[in-house]
Amino acid sequence: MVTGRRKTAPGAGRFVWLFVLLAAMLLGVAARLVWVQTVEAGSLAAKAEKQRVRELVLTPRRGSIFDREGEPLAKTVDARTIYAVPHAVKDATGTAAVLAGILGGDQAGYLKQLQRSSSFSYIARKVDLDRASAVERLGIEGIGFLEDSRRTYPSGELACQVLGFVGVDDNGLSGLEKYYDDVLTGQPGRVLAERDPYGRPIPGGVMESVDPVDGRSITLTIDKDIQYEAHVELAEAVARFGAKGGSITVMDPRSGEIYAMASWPNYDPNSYAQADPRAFRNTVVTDAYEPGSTVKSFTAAAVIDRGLAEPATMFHLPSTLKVGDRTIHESHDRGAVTWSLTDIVTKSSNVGAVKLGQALGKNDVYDYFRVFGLTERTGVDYPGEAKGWLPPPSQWSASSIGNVPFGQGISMTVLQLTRAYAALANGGKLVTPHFLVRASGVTTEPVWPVRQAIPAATTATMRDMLRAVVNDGTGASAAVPSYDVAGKTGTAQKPRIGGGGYIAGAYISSFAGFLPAVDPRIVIVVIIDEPTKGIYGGTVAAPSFSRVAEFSVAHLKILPVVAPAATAAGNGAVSNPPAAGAKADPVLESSSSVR
Amino acid sequence: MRESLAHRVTGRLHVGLALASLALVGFGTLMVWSATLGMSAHDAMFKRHLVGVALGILPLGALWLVDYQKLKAWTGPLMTLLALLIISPRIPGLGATAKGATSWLEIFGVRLFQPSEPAKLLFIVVMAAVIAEFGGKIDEPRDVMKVAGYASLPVVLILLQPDLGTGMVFVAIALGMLLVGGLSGRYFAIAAVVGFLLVGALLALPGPLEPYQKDRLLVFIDPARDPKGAGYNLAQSKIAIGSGGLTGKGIGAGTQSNLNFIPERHTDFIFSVLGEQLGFVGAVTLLGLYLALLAAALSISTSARDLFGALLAAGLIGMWLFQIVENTGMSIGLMPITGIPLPFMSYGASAMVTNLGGVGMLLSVWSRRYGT
Repeated sequence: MVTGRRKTAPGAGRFVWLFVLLAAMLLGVAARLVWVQTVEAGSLAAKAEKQRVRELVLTPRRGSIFDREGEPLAKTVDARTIYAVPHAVKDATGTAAVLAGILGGDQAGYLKQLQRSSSFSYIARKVDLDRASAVERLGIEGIGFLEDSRRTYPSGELACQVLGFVGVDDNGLSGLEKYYDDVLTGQPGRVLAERDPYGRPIPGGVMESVDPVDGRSITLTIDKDIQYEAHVELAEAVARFGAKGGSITVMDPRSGEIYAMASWPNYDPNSYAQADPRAFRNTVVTDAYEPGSTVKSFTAAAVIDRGLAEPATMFHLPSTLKVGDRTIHESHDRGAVTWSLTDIVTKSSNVGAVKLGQALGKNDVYDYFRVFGLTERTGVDYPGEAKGWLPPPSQWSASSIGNVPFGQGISMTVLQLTRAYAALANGGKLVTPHFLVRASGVTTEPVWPVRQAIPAATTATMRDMLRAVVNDGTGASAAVPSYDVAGKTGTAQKPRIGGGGYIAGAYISSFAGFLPAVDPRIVIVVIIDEPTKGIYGGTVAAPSFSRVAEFSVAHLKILPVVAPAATAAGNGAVSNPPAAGAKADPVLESSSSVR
Repeated sequence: MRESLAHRVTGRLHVGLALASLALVGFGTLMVWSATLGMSAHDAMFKRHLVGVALGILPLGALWLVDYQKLKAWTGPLMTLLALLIISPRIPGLGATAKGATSWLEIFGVRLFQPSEPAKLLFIVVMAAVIAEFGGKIDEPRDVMKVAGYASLPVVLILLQPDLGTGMVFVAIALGMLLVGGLSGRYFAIAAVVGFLLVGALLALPGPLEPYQKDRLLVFIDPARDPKGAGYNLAQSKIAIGSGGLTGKGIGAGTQSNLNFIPERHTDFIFSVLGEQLGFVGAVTLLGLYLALLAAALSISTSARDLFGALLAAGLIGMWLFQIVENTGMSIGLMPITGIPLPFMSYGASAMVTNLGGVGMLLSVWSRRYGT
């Protein structure tokens, strides 16, 4: 019976096939396991560790920037970054509207971030704590927060070009933030830890941890009060004279410490992204310009240092002078005159400056300009310093001697000019203009190179002459009550970019000077770019010099210094040229025979 | 003639099958506990797994006690129930979608079970009844057409869900039964060719496969194709298993599995968890237990007192074998990735109840091998 039924059952062969099939398949799996778990085990284990153990960089806090009196100019405050896990946000449109309401900005922009096909999306970086907690209180699912920090500039536009700004990752992008980025940044720390696939740390999974070292704070030579005065005065002058821009630089001529450096136009580094990038330029350092009459001081200093003339030496000056293919004019037409060297400087005579240049010869003109640092960078601690253009005499044209001595056909930065005036003020030393006083935690203060460029006696003579510019000459508006001021005006035509003459009606008005004239403590250079209501340095730039100088001596508690008797006598001699002036021409003649 | 109690129990119980099943259920319970460690719902999930095992005792006992031959008489209603089960998730108000396939039965928002799981058992019963009609020799084209017709109905319905993996399980069940049911060799050859062409067509044509299904098949061919997308599962699974080495990292100590690197680690990819935590030794032990299970089923199939019983066992062998090889194979890059569970190991009550029901059916065939 049983066997009868079994006959309907299949033959044994089929079962053998089935067994062979299943055994073979299971063996195949086992064989593959041998491969994966022995041969490939090492490399797969390494992969496992690599994707599981991740390094998290801990950002150090950026150091602050203080002015010379410890007032904060830039500091880092707590902030929070808001992010989204897009697929976890249920109502993207509603959330975008709420975010735009609290954080400001474009609702469509937030919506785009909320709908990205990734597991992480930035909503807003470095949000201040108040607004971040306003968002947090809503408890929106899929919106997360990261502790972060944010750079702020408490004084807004004040010294904005000097300070610069940082990017979203707190890296210095411009100005001193960029130059001292390494100092301010500090050392990032790191945590080597086991993390899940979403990058979240696993409790107890920390394998190695190095704390970040916060960045050092730096103290600047900038004096916030003087900077403020320069800032406001510049803004007023630019508005008063309908100018395009300008700058005011205030420096200690003895050390090169920069008290203030204001440039116009301005921007707010707290929201630099919305600003015109042209406002980022610290034109004093990064832009060269054609200086004009302010360089006559160096031509005169060269003549004195060479012993070719004294302040009272007289010169015959025709109404115009032909040099090469050019005819040199004065800015105000006059007839032929006989002026002393002091007169040439105080009345800012172009013809006179060319006569001095011809007396020196092109090699000496070039050498003295070089001695005053006009062919080299100053070495200031600021990124992107320019150095202007003054070709060696071998490349001069026949007419170069007819314009270089009064500041045409050459260019320099305002800072180069400031340093050269500082050398006239400090007894002939070329200092290194600088911003840094010290970095916190560094005991040694930086050493800024100083070199003697020109004999102290020559600069003393020059100081007397430049005093006369303010007392009797074109710079009368630069005077400061109770103080002796020395300086020189400049009214330079703006050359066409790419060469080919000058732009009609476009001038740069300037005044460079220092006080107290006998023992100068402050050198100030005022530049007003393309004024439309008045062009002369003596009327446009000198008044600003006066106000900033008056404020600075009061703020720095610098007493007026009475000029010593001997110098006062010399000064009197300049005012009243002696009969010895008749000997002027022979001197000039003899100088031509020397060279 | 009265048998002694001991003889009655031992005569009705296939010891090899019982030991293999028990060991597998125990092993599976351990792995589910370990794989869900670190999940917030760990305790609840582990309890649900135990409830699934307990629920599975019911069909096991019922099918063991009932004479399997009586099932033959219910072929018609069972076929209807089979079709209903498969299409039930598609009926508005009853279905729930998970991972691209509508494969859950849901009533009033409560997820009940995956109907395709019990449908496998119904399919085995219906196909056994159909194939048994031919008495162990299927050679006439008309007979082949009839068998193919019965077999293709549920397969097509499943593929429409779309659930490629489960569809392949039904095909494997049918193949196992046809092998024992005496289908002529040349039809297997034809089936192989047709199957090959079919897969080619599925990949080439834009319509029939969802993009994610195509990706999985293509990634199987070239795993480097998309390591963060479709290839991510395979890459993570291989990393876990490979880093387990010879003896593994220990239960619950899987750096890859317990830290969420392996997706679906308690269900589809539980073999990766086992491979990482217990290593090659653990994985081969599991394969040994499966071999014991399948060998027991094979011995029951060969000792069945009729072709119907032998076919029931063959269907279960086809079902388990395919699921085992496909699931473990996809974890180590031997097979394309599909979402089918590893028998007795993967978390999921529907599959556990079905597998224990299958054991009950085998015991029924075994205990009645001499007739009643």
